[in-house]
Amino acid sequence: MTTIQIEGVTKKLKGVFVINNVSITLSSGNVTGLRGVNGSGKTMLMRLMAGLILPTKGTIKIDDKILGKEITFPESIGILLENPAFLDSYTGFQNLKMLASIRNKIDDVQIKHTLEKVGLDVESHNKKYKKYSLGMKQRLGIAGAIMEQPDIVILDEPTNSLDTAGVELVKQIIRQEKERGALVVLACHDTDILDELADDIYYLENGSLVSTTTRGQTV
Amino acid sequence: MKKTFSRLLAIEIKKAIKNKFFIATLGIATTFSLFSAWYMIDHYRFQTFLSSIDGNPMTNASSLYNHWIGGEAMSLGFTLFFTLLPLIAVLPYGWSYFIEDKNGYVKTVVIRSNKWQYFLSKYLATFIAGGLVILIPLVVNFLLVASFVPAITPSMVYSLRYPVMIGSLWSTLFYTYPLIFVLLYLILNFIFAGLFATMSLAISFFLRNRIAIILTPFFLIMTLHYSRTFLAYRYYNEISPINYLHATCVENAANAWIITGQGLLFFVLTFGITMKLGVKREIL
Repeated sequence: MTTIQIEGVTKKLKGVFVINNVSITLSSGNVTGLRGVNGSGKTMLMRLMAGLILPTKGTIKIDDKILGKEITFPESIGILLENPAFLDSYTGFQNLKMLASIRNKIDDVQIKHTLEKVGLDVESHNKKYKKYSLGMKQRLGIAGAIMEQPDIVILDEPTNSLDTAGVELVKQIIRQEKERGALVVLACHDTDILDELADDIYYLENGSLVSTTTRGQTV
Repeated sequence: MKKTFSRLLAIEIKKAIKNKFFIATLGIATTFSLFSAWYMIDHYRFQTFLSSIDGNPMTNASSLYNHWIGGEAMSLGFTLFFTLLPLIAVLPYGWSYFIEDKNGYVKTVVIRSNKWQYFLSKYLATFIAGGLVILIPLVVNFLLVASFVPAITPSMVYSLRYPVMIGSLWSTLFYTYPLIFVLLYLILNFIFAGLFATMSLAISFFLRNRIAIILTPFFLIMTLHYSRTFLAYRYYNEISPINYLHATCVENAANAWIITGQGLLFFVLTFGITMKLGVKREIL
């Protein structure tokens, strides 16, 4: 059981509050949605959860361990933040293999299985990343986030650049991740997707948490 | 944790060496070294021909040790190679952190390891790529010239032909065990080329332009090179890496303390900046 406890977190960047006194608790087996207009702080909150940036005030605990003090990054996490980022001169498969070899938890078969799961066919496995379409890049980004079956999956706008079939596939993947018991954090502009998939939805405005919806009940 | 670092280092080295910039730069640097070899082998043959007319063969005056690129100071290849050395060293991988930070790739790597491991492996890979891109052409040149010019131990009788001054770095070795002298110079070139490459990595924390990141180490070394006219003649010691990385004295004697001091300064600055700012830096 993985938990993320965000306690009174404030983040100030260049004198501006990008996150302002946010407190929420997230647990595994749930999909947590983040909603808000551009610049409301969704991505910043995700970066904080991933340990990529540290709070100016407050604490973030992953399984009771303080991020930035007791641990640098969550031990088991997969992320897709903003645009997928891979190396242009390597194929999709090589890119994932390279990343997977850092933790050395999964083998080539599992990587190929993940690529197929996100809808990238065998031909595209051996295509250089720079030749990928935007949709293919997005699928590869999702594959990179889920391939090691991490406890925490953070997906920022995962349906960007995807066609209808791609969006359906992403929805299916998110459901599967939830069933697997992962803690999924999802930011999406498409309110229908969030309503459909998320157990809790947090609405952010100017870095502050303004409302919470738990399966239809707004607080 | 240790295993994660070694895996990350292996990946970084693979990325640093198996990329088109490394191959292209290596090709250019090797071309310079081949120009030098071509010129010097021809020069050797011409000298031998002249000596045969004169009647004095001057056998000890012409040797591999004053005909390989590190021992000669007359060919275009030598000038291009040693003048552009700080730029050549940077081109293969010095810019990589800047690109990975810009496109967001850093994020996907650090969450699988940590920032300390990421920056240490990046530093080492940049150092190795920079070092190799200089070392390989030097070795190729040395082996090629050795195939045509005999490795006669330099003689002090022909001091004009062997400009390694008395008191210059490893000068005793040059006139006794020249092969060891060359090997030590190859190591010295590898280390300094590696340090030049890491300069661009450290500069990536301050500049946000790829061209500027690639060119700044070259201009810094050039500034040091031209500042030698203010200082060097006062002490008669070489302070320019462009001159002292060449295995024979171009202008002044190479001083071990100056070279060690500059090397340590470059290392402390590049490693210190990379590790301190890198680990502290938030990944946006």
